Amino acid sequence: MAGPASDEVEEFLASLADYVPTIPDELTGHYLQRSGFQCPDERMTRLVSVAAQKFIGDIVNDALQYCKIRMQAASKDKKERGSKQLVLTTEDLAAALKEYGVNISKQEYYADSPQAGTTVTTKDKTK
Amino acid sequence: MADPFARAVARVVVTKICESMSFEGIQGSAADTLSDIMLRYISEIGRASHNYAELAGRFESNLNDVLLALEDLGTSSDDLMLYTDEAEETPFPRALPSFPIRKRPRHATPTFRDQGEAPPQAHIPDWLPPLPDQHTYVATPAFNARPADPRQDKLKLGKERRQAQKSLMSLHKRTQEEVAAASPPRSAKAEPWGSLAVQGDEQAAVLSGEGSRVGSKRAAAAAAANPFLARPRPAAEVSRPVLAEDHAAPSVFEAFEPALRETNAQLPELADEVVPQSVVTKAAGHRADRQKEPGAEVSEREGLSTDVERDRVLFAFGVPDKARVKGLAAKSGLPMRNGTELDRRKQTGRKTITEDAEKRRKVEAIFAKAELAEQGQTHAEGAQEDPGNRPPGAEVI
Repeated sequence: MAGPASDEVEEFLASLADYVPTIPDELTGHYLQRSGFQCPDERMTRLVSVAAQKFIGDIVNDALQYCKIRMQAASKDKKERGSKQLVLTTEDLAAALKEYGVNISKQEYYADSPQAGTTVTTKDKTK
Repeated sequence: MADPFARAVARVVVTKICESMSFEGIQGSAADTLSDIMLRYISEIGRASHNYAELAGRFESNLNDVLLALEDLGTSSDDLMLYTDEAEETPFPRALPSFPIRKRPRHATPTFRDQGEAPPQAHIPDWLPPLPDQHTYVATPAFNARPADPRQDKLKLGKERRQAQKSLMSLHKRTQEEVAAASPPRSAKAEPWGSLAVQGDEQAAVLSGEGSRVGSKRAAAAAAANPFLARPRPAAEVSRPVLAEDHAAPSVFEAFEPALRETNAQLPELADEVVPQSVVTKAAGHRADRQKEPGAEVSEREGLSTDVERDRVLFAFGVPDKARVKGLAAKSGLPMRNGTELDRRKQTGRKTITEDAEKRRKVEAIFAKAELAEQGQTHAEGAQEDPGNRPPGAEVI
């Protein structure tokens, strides 16, 4: 358990005033307010923003590693395709999120139309 | 509306972070998932730090609560310090307005306090809206500005009474004329003014009788046998509304007959003058003319010169009787200086000095009796006791 705020933390908070996180303060403040958080100190909001940004950054970094590994494997199978774009896919994200305790999976199929799955297919008829 | 906006902003944030991590693209579902996780993470920090603040008996979180919450979620201030040192700064591309936008408080109705006035009663608190303006609910008595002048009032009353008398007289004149023209003369018993009517008949016969002497019997017989041979009547006479002989028009005197009888009983000296003389004279004369038709009148018409075929019939209402009597006199050649005056003197033998006063008294009595007859049934019942004495028009409904 961390003790009372040390001088380092105070300095860090002071430096946060200059650091502008990607997450806007308004967004963080809104969701903090929704969760019941109440603090007159604006630095707290920024601290939470930095923490969230770090969290997402870690996840994306992990997903990036997965993506690179997958691309290297793919380039080994099919040569001459090294110049593929780095795209964050759900599969990579799911693999990265597993380490953080979040289980997601790509959906089984895409419904092409609202009627998909509701009509009786020929397979069912034969059965 | 704030939530979709916040989610869109979070999506942009996530893609920005991915971009800063040297990603070149992101799947839509991945961006949604990441933004969802990010917002959930922020909410989790807020909830946890709020719980810590409440645990410490505070309602506002401070740095220690946030740090404890971060530790619960697997990070520490040291990690954040490292991250801020390493990661490059990629601020959000555009400035965001503070959201959600708070609705402006409704334009509340002003209160006593707002208007700076004290409530009129001690029990009314000053945060209540003020009462409407006094003139909207306070009743003020309205008085007639005209000063009371008893003399003027009396004059006005008298004027109104005279007007009522005048209008009653004219009404009576009109109705009596029509009734006389339409109905056959009644017996003197049935009508209190019957004797006067008989006298008027005689007079009218005298006035119009001279023409019948000159008439040719042959022409009269032919005209009587064949109505088409009769000479056309003047338009004025033809246009007169012909009433059925037996169907008597409602008369003022018939309606007021009980009252008239009462008045006669009370004022015996006026018994003969209940009906103005001129009216009766004229009506009776007209009745006599009607009775002579067709034979006598045709002969009279034949005998007259072409210039003066017959007396002018004045059908307009309100034509003074004097004019009619004068016309009759001019035709008959009788010396009539003042027809009505002469007639009255001949019939009653009395001076008419107090004529106006008597008239007024009569009409007032008629009014009073009529009101009594209308209001109380007693008079009507009394009238029903002797139905033979009552004219047919005086049915009390």
